Amino acid sequence: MKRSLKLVATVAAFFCGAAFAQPNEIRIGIMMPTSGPAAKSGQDTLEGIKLAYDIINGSYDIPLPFAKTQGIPSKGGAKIRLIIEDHGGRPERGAAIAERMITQDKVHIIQGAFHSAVASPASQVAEKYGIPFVTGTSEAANLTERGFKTFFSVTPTSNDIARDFFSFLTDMSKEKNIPLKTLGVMHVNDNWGSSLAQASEALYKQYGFERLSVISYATPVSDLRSEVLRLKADNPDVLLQASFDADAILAVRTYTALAFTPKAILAMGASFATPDFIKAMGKNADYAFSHTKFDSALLQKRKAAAAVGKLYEQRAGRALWDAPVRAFTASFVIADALQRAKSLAPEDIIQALRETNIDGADTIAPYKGVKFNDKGQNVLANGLITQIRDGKHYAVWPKDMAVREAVFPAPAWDKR
Amino acid sequence: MIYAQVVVDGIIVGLVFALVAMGLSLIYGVMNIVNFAHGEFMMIAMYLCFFMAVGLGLDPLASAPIVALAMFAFGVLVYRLVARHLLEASMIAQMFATFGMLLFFQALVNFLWKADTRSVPDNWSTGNFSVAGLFFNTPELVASLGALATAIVLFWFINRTETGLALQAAAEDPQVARLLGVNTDRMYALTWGLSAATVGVAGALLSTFLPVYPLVGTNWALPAFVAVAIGGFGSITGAFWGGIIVGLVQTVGGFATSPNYKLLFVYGLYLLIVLLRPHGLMGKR
Repeated sequence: MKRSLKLVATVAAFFCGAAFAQPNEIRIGIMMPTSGPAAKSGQDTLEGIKLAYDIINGSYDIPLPFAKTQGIPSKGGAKIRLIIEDHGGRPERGAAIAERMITQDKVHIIQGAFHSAVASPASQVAEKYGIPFVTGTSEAANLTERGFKTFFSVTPTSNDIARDFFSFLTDMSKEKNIPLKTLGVMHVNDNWGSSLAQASEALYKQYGFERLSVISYATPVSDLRSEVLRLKADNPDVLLQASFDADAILAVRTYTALAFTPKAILAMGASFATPDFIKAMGKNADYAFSHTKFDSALLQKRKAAAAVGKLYEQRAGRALWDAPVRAFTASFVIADALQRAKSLAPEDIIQALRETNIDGADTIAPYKGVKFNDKGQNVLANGLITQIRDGKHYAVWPKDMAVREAVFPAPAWDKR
Repeated sequence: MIYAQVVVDGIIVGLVFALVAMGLSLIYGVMNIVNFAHGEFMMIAMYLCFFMAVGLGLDPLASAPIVALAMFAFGVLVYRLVARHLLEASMIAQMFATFGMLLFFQALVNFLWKADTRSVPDNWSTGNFSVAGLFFNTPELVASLGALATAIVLFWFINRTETGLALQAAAEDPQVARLLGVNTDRMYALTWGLSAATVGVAGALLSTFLPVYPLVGTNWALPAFVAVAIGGFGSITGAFWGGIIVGLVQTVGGFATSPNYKLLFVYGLYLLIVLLRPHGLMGKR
């Protein structure tokens, strides 16, 4: 009898302890693909997120808000605890994870999901429960077009990216006096990849292109010959591309093999910006353009970028790049909202997110700042276009961020 | 002219599908087990090649025989540890076991080496050339010729050597084979070894130009499954032709209409064959 009483007391004490511990922690559910077709990008991005919250939770001598203080000051220095789950790039798993994070882990915020195709159903679950969902990396424009109350996108969308590409191409065409009439789009056929094709379809005539050929493929993919042969037959002047890590390598290998030589390749998303791509393709990676949110020039323009870059390199074993930078930035947007939120109730956090107004100088991204419209899209998000030269990314557009002049058209594969 | 290129490309990729499919069909033909982890065997072989290329500076084409031997041993090991216990098991248990290996090996590699898309540095076969208006990527051409050579060796071994004939006997009727003095247990081990070795050669050949990452095997196993189904489960000759058919159908079909539909042709053909000739083009009834 005595023993069982003791047991009950211990168990009760344990639960009370757990209950009392709660106000000092803020739970953020992180969903990232650490397996599946974008696993490497997902793993790198996750390191960026973890680093961001380590800086927020701990004390660092870095010129960023929340670096010197520990935790979220207005919430009694509450520490952020991450609940990390891998969705492997599978939409149905994303929805299940969101459900579990909200109902069982009782997260205050969900952050993710890299793949737009996963962010879409997962944020739908969050909307249903009224829990805020913040993305730093999912680019499909239709995510914010839905007009959800709880969804916030810090990153530029596929529409912004396509518009940047077209403006850049128009500039190039004028500057180098090369008429551009035909456009190709090569994309993975998920929500994210298709969003580039949709944006291009809406814009190409407006920017003076006469013909558009769109080629899509499904992952996993072992062979892209018929796709590339089709492209070669259509022979577009320039090619826009949305691919995952290994697909991008396979695609460019096939371009070189079949001598498909557009004047320029412009890539949305992470794949062409990954260090693995450059390592794999060597000189054939050169001259590719990426819409990115990070390059070496930013290290000088953003005061915290160099220090963050060093910390990231220690942790991830590779240089900081686009996707981790965007996720890192989104993490600080979350911390900023938590600091301003009246309480940790979901509606207060959402209200705080809605009132976000961060100056670009307080981030490590090239964004002018962070400010959401009524659909939750960051209207101050912008990126830059980089070109790979000798295995390094250099900003070439917009002009005020450029560190090198763009090479256009790119030399043929066998002339490199 | 462009159609000549399309057909040539279909055959080039088809030959590699064929080699992967043959190893898959071999195990099914002898033991009636579908090895879902077949693509992962290839992935492991590709990692072996990568590490030998980076660590020892060994060209994948030079390390191919070493990889084949290592994968043979690996196949035998998998047989001893896992597959042997599945011989009398229900089909569901067999599927779960080999599918479990698929997940296990993918997760293990992801855990050990992360999901980096690694690439073998430039090697002997790196390069492109063109002949008579046709474009070739040298490593791809080497891979398909290597696949053809390996397929011929496998045919020869199975049909022309005593061990190969014993293997066929064990496949035909294990009990009678045992009565005739064939050690079926050893034959089964040999089957797994051969299957892993052939897919290992495929992995070595592909690693000269494809990035190596945890999911790379899955990409190649799927068309191989279709090739085996088209050719007829258990028929090695069928798997060979099945591989070439899959390569041709997806490349030509995809080019002639739209690449978006290329898999439609492959799976349409598969469906047609399953309906009209359920045992495949050359499978046993």
